[in-house]
Amino acid sequence: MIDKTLVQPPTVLSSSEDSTSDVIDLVPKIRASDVNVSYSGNQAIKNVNLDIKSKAVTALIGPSGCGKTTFLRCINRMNDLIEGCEVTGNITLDNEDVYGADVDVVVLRRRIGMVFQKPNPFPKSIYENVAYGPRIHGQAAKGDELDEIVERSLIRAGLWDEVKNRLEAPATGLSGGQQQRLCIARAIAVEPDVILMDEPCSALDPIATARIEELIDDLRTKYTIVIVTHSMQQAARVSQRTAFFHLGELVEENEAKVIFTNPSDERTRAYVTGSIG
Amino acid sequence: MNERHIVSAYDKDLQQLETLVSEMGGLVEAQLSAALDALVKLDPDAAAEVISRDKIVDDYESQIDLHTTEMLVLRQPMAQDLRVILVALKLASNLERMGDYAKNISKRTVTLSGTPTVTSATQSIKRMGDKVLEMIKEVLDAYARRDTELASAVILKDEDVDRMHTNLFREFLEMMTTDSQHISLGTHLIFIAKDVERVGDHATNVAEKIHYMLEGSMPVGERPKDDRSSGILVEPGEGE
Repeated sequence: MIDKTLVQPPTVLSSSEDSTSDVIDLVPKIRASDVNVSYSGNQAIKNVNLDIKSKAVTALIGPSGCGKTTFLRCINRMNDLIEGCEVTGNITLDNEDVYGADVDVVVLRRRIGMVFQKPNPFPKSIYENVAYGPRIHGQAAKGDELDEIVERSLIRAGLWDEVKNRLEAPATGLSGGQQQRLCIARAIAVEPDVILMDEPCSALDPIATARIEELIDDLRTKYTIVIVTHSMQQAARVSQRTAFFHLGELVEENEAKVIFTNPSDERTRAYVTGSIG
Repeated sequence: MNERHIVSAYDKDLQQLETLVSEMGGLVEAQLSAALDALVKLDPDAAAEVISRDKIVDDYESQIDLHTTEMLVLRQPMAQDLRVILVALKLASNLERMGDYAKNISKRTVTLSGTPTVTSATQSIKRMGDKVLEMIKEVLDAYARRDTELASAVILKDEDVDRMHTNLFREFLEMMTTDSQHISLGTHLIFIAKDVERVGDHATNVAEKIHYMLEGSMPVGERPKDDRSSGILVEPGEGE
């Protein structure tokens, strides 16, 4: 008798990303249409059209000055803070105009959190760093609730076990990798829909980087994540969708595995293989 | 292509890898050609040389395995570079098998030399072998010139080889049925013909991998096949 299991066709190998495939093609979480950005008249982004899928990691890659960070900062209107910056076109979050006249930017940035290149904890205790957001947004009525949010956020950020006995210690005493995970805990404490990450690992060593990447992979089941990274290997490891920017244009956006094995645009191919000429 | 990598040592690594694969391919082509000549002439010395040279083919495969592994780790290749490196690995293993078949043919040639043989039979195998050699030459050209069309043309040629093999199989069965003196000879010839046919299959694999390397996808459609030898029966008296 031949073992029945031996005569099955091979199971189609699914990489971890496929767990999102059922939601990945539904309505985009974020939709950018004809987005142009200029700084004091110098155009930084030209006619970018990009749909960002819900509950997936989208990586923005490209050489320095290609506009990827500028684009990221348009999504939660961080560019509003820069003098001379003009944004035209349309960006929607769940079909609502991010730049609409009645949008409260504070509320918008609660829904779209951000993690920066350099960990930037407040000069306060570990506890206060995480509690600050939910407290100012009125998300916790009592101290117990706040404790719960802090604990839950630190657990989700993979930091709880390392800090649970010193929550009152200053956050600045943590290592760089721990500080970055604290910043992620701080971002998720206010229950955002989207987390923007601007080169979150560039100041970290490989072990701390791996922890953040593991965390990103875990968080994507709950949040929509957009990450700017200079490391193509990181984009390949963490993202399901990858967008390549060049000279302010969005050249190509596709499944990460397509971008890194068989990109369709010559410029993308040259960039991912490190070629010139 | 004028394009080059920013890290120029990467280009040298890739060039070295392609050189290794091309050299290995040339060696395998020479091995099959020498094995077929030795068969036709029933020259045991020439056959013995083929057998001993197989070690060099194996060494090439080890070299390519090592080189590709190092490149995967050190260069972390992407896109076309990744495909070039992965395909080099696949090509090396296919070429190594092709080299083994040339060796197997030569082993049987050594056995057959000194025994009475049927010249027309070895000539028939040689004809099929020449067709396979043509496939190898073209597939190696397709690799060196990065020519998808040529690679696709090679895939189509395997059907001719299959057909020739089917005819040879019938011919040798009939030879054995007609004269039981020829059973030893005929059995060896059937195996030799099968070895040549298998080399053609591997050349087709190589062509498919080259297509993948250049286009990022396997060729579409079924591979044409026409080997019907598995369905042939020759009853006693039929071949007379």
